[in-house]
Amino acid sequence: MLRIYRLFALMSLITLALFLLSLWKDSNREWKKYQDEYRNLLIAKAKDADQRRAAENVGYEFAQVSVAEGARVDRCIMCHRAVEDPRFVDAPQPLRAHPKIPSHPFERFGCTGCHGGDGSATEVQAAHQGIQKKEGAVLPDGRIVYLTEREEPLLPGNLVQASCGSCHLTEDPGKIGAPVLSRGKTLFQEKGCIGCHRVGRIGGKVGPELTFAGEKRSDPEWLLKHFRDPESLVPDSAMPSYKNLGEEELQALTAFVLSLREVPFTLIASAPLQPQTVVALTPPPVPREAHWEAPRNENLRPNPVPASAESVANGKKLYGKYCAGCHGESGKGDGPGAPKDLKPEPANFADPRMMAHEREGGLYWKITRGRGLMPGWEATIPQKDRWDLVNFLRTLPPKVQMPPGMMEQPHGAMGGEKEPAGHMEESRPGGH
Amino acid sequence: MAKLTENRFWRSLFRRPLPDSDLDRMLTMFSNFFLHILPAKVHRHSLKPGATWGLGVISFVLFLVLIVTGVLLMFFYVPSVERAYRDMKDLKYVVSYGVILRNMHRWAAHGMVAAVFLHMVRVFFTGSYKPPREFNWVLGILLWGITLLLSFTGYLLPWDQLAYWAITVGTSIASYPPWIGEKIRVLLLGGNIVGESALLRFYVLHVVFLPMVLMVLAAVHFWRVRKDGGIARPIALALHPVAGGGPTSAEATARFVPGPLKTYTLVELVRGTSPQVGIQAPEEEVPSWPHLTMRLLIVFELVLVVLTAVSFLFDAPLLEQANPVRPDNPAKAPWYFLGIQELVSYSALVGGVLVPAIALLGLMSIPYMDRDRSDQGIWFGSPAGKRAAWISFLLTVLVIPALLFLDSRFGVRQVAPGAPQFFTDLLNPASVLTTLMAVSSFLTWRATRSRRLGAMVLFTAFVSAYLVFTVIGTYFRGPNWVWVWPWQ
Amino acid sequence: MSESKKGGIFSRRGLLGIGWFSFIVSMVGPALANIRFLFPNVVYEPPSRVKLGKPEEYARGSATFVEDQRFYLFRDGEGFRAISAVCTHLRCTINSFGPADAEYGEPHAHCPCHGSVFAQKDGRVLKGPAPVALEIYEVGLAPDGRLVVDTARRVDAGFRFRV
Repeated sequence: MLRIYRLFALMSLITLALFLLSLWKDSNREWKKYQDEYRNLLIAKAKDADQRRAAENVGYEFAQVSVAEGARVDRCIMCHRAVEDPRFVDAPQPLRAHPKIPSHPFERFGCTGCHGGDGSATEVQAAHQGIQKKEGAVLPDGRIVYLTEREEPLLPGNLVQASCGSCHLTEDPGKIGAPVLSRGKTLFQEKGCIGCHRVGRIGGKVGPELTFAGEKRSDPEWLLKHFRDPESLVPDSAMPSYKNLGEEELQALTAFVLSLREVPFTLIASAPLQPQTVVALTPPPVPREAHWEAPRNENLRPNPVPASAESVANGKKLYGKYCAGCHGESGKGDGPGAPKDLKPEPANFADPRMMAHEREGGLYWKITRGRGLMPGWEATIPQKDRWDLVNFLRTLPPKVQMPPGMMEQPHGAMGGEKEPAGHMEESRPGGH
Repeated sequence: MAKLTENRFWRSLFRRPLPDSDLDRMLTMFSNFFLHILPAKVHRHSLKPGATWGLGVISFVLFLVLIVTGVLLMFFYVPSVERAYRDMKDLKYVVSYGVILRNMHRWAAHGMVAAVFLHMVRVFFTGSYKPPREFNWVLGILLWGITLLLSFTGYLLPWDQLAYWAITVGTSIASYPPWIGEKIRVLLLGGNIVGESALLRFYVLHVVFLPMVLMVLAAVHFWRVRKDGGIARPIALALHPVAGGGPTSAEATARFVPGPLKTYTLVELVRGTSPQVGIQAPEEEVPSWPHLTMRLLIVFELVLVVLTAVSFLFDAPLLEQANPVRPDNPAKAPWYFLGIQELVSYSALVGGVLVPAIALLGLMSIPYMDRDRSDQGIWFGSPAGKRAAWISFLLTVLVIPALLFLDSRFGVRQVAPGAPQFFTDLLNPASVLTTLMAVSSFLTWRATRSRRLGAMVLFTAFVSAYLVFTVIGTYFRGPNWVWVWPWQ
Repeated sequence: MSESKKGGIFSRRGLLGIGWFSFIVSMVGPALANIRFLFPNVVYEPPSRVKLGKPEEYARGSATFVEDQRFYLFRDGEGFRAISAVCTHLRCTINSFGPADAEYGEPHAHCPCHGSVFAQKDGRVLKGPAPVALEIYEVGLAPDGRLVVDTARRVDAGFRFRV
């Protein structure tokens, strides 16, 4: 039995050691090294004691730019801490500040939309190199080849200009600050690539279509190698080698081919930030043409029937019988009886803004007369019952506060047609 | 310490003081909820490592690890096409301990598939399925199936290329049975392609349905082991002292302090070889505490250590995000289905339906054919059994490559390319091999008059074939399912 | 029984002590680590800093509700200010601000959940269970001339951003 206890003690110690090792491994993240460097550089750049103290207090943190509501997240800033800090223009990478690019705000575009790479990764290798992919194929003669390529690697150096071309399709790349891409585009035309390859609606059929070539082959190294020696990557390729072109020219061609892709804009950038919905605190003017206005004298006609419980109940009964078919059970204008696409559509009595605008006299008049497909009920519903209906309609909008005129009118639109005094008193909240 | 333990609350929590005699220990085993799955006393034979290699316990520990890590992972996982892959990346890159938990879950899942299979192999070769354990063997086969399904449904969840194409291929294998195959596939996927609804279905199956089924079946499985008198052991053990491993005979007798509270009547209810007064001398049972509990703890720790170490060294695979228009070539099912994928490549009907069905039915019927208990609890039963197993293994390993070679040269499709599908179904490596296995098993039985030997031949051939085909599918099949060398 | 019951690391007692201690630590430790696991390091929530339109897009006397961050941007004669629309009681979103009435002598807003009432002027509590005034956020101007509000930076009630 002592043997078993010895084994138990040993195994427990190993278990404990492995647990401690896993704690260490999780805390020992690669990006912490770069955040250390950033802090040290910040301390070195501090101009006074305050800045220095602030710099010393900079701790480890997770950070990300979430583009298009999280469709893509870029965590590049976990290592590239100083991309937006002008003090770091000359700092060594990864801490160098990014040059300003007009109208491409960082918080909207993130990093990988232009630079490529895996933005979600927090390890250099994975973030920059993308994922290694080995794909096998069997040739017609039975030989087996494996094509190795990387998915979404970082676009190194000037190749990043390829990304400009992916969005700015119709612009001359030379004029939007992408000279390498411009050169590649020119070379592509000069070298007659279009003779064999189709791009868009023009081009030959000898080689594969290149309209979205940058999507299918996102690995610049693969493309460069392929320009120099096509057969080494695509056996039996009929494409001539372009190794006689200079390094720069091959880079430019690669940039152009990489730019041929169709990327949903939602993955490139968040929608531009618009001023948010303006909630005017006064009931907004109802557009005149869409609004059905009762004659002024009808509008001002007072309601002779008090909004008692019996009156509302009677109104409710009548509403269910005559009105709900089109205006809906709950008055939302969604009754099944109305023809689809009926214009003007049945009124939505649950809309507090609309109802705040309606006077009881006006409602009575409208019930009496009707308009378009809405019949006039004068002959069908007795006068008192119509007022009961009006009282019931008043109970339909949800109880909200619709306070008028506490702010200055935000827009001039209402100014011209000031409502008669006493308007709001009349539009009392329902349910009285 | 005394203050902590000597009060009403503590005593209400732990009804017995820490035991200091074997009798107290046994009573504790009996009265403790968590320990009462274990017997109060355990036979020395069951404690020998070589008797079981602890494979059942290992499977159970892996299942526990899977539940703990799985529940934790659920907190960071949304089963939707938009979120699933991103959540994997988040787990890897920005969630504390996310990597290690995911790795442990992944490797524990693979480990459990392997451990359960090996457990089945162990149970067969030690003849532990014999009456009254026949149905427990059947339960074991079902548990193996549930384990495979659990692993398979979990495979899709990361939503990367590996997951997507493995499930596309795997569910296509399921669609081969005539008439109902397509329906099974639609039922599994909730549609015609692997998409949002398939992801949700696999998720629900993986985290709720299958674990529940597995827990119920496993509970019955354990209960039956317990009620059948523990691990199967040789019937004649009373006459021969247990050799090697385990506690010594001296410990067994010295540690046992008979007391007035030991009631034989109760133990009598438990089937199997229960202690009987006057027959056994010396008594070969030891208290489970500490002999069994300590060993269980050590196995538990061993599993944790190996699992954690593997999780340190190897990250769970995560390829690029699933892309339905760019299949991986070759697209392979999870490794435990690669044998079937290999068979399907000869003939869909035979490889995808007939052979697996026959194999499952055959496996389940083993204890109903071979009912002789005389060699239970003994590895391979007898020297003749061991020889039969070896021969069966070697023959299978040799015959399969030969069959595959013949098929590639003189197969139906080579000799008569225009022949109807029926002939391919009739004559292909899978059907020929199955026939050979059945015939040789039958002949063994007739020649030796031993059902055990017949079963031995059949089961060994099945296990060997499963392994060989899995290895072939994993290492020797390249793009377009053509032959490649593993190093290519 | 051949085992020694005396002390020493390699006695039964010593081995069991080491074994159980390491075992319990390596069970409780991961449990604690797993609680750490449940605290997210990154969240997918609206950022605290939000960029709005240019100042001239907001009329004097206007009130703008910013949905993601749940605050009102007011422009009055003195300038801009941003006042939180999150009730300080239990974080419901308050109704829009209404005018002075008989009960409250100044513009105010009701919280629909438990009836707290807040003054529009400085966010202070006029009635109800809310413990403290509504938060007031800093308003500033981004380099591109657009308004910026940072809900992580609180200022006092008198704050105005003048254009």
